[in-house]
Amino acid sequence: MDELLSYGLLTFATLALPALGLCLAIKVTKYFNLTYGDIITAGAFLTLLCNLTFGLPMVISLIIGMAFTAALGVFLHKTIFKPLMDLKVNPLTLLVVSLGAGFVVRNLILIGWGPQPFQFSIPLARAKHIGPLFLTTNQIFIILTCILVAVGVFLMLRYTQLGRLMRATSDNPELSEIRGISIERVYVYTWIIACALAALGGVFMGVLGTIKSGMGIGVLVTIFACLIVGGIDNPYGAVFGALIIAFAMEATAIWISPPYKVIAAYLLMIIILLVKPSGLLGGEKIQWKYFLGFLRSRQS
Amino acid sequence: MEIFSWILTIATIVAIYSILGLALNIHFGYTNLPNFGIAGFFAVGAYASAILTAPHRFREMEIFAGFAGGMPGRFEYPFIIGLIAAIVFAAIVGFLIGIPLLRLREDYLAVASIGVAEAIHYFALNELWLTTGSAGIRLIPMPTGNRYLFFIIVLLILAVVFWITQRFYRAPVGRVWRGVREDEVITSSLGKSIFNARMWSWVVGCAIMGAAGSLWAHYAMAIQPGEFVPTTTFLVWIFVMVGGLRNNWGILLGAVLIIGFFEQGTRFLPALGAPYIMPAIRHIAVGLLLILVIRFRPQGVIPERASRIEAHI
Repeated sequence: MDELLSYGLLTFATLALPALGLCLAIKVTKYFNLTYGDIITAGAFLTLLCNLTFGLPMVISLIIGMAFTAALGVFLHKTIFKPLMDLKVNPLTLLVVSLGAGFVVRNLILIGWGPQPFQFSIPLARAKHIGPLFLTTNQIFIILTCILVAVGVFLMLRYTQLGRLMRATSDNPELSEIRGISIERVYVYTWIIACALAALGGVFMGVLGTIKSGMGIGVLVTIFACLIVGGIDNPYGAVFGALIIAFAMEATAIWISPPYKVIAAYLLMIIILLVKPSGLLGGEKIQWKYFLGFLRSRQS
Repeated sequence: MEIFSWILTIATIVAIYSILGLALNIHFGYTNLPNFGIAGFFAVGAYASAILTAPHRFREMEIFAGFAGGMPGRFEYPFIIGLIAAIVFAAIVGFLIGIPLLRLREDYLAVASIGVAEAIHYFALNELWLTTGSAGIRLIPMPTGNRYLFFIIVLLILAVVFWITQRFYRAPVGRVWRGVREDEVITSSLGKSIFNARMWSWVVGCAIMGAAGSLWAHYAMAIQPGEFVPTTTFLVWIFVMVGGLRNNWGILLGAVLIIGFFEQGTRFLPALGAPYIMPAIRHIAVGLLLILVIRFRPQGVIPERASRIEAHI
């Protein structure tokens, strides 16, 4: 049980912030962006560039990495997604385009760094017992940062002007525009926050393991699983979903088989989509009839 | 003669990818089911066919993973049984996956199907007793033992699949599919079951993808899980979107342009630096092409023909 708690918390720390960022992006821009997985990879590699190539300390390179990732996200939004959103194409087209954009980002990283895995140059630390947990200093730092940043984002959404603008835009874009909110600026700020969170998540993955150019797509589907389990319209739900998915994955790894932990996340996602499509913290009631009446044909 | 051999190789790969593209057209072009799990059904077909036709024992494998006394479940059946089994298995897997997935909205379906394909990839990677994991299956026999004759077989199957896809466009069931694509509420108000229509489209498309997988296994003569990654899926999506979604001729053109000239044709250019550089540059170009096509010509190179009413009477 103790190792489940430690590993579960660590996996949670890597998933929670990207899930929160993607949740904000989907909530505000109203389409599923599949480039996000590769933005996570880009964040990790931009930090790696500062950390390994230029030899800067980890915290400074992390901040620079987050800034550059945010710039990358805004660049992609301005050049690719904004023109299409202006044409009012349907969300599925934007999804396919984001796939192409992700393809480009991933292969640019592949050209820059090659297919082999990388690790950050951080001092090694000895693990110690803290209550039931068995963690190194780096890992404690990661878990605490994750919780602090998540709480910070929630406070921002609740109490600041930007948070109010984002909530208003996601609620009703037309009305917000009529009331004088510049939607484009809200989009840009959302992308900045989302990409900074993505970079943090990517760096945490790198600190706990290794990073490589192709990691984005697998991580992306796991993050979507977190969002769907928690409720795709609810930032609290994203973090809650990350907690559930993280513990489900680590329990599978401990008691069933490590390679199948990703499959456990997908399975949980599909069950939740059937039983309660709005997610555990979403509004609707549980729809047992869908779950039980598998073969009944749908009357929409 | 060497150039002729290259062209034959490229043509076979293009034909197999065209089959995948036509299947995606049934899913996304006809019925608006964004299937991002193409690689998964491709893998199911390839593995079903390979396991049924590969030789029972060979030394290399026995040494590799301790499979003394021959590989598990290699049956040495003829190609035709492998092909039929690939179609049937892919249809069954598609049906089982479709039960939960087809109840979802389109964008959720897209994400969930990526997950399904990844799950199939992990399954192939980890179930050593069935697939020998990352070592893959080798020595799959090529039917007729001759690449020219095999190319003719692939072309024949492509022609059959093309005819089926064209026929489905105007058949009653295809009209229901297109009705589901345009407006679910109106279609269901006419008494058609949306879920059944989606499921038929899904199963037919998955079966065709399984057939393509079988052809791929017998053409390459060796398969491993690393071939069935999301990149395969994205390439199919890209050439379908570029060539012209909803028009089968456009999809053939897209396959020739993207897979033939872009992916395979540039294989003979001099390599730049490390071996991964050239594929990465190709993929960047293909990704940019997709973005530009959707931005400036969203209907693709050859758009869908406007349907004439009298053709349906």
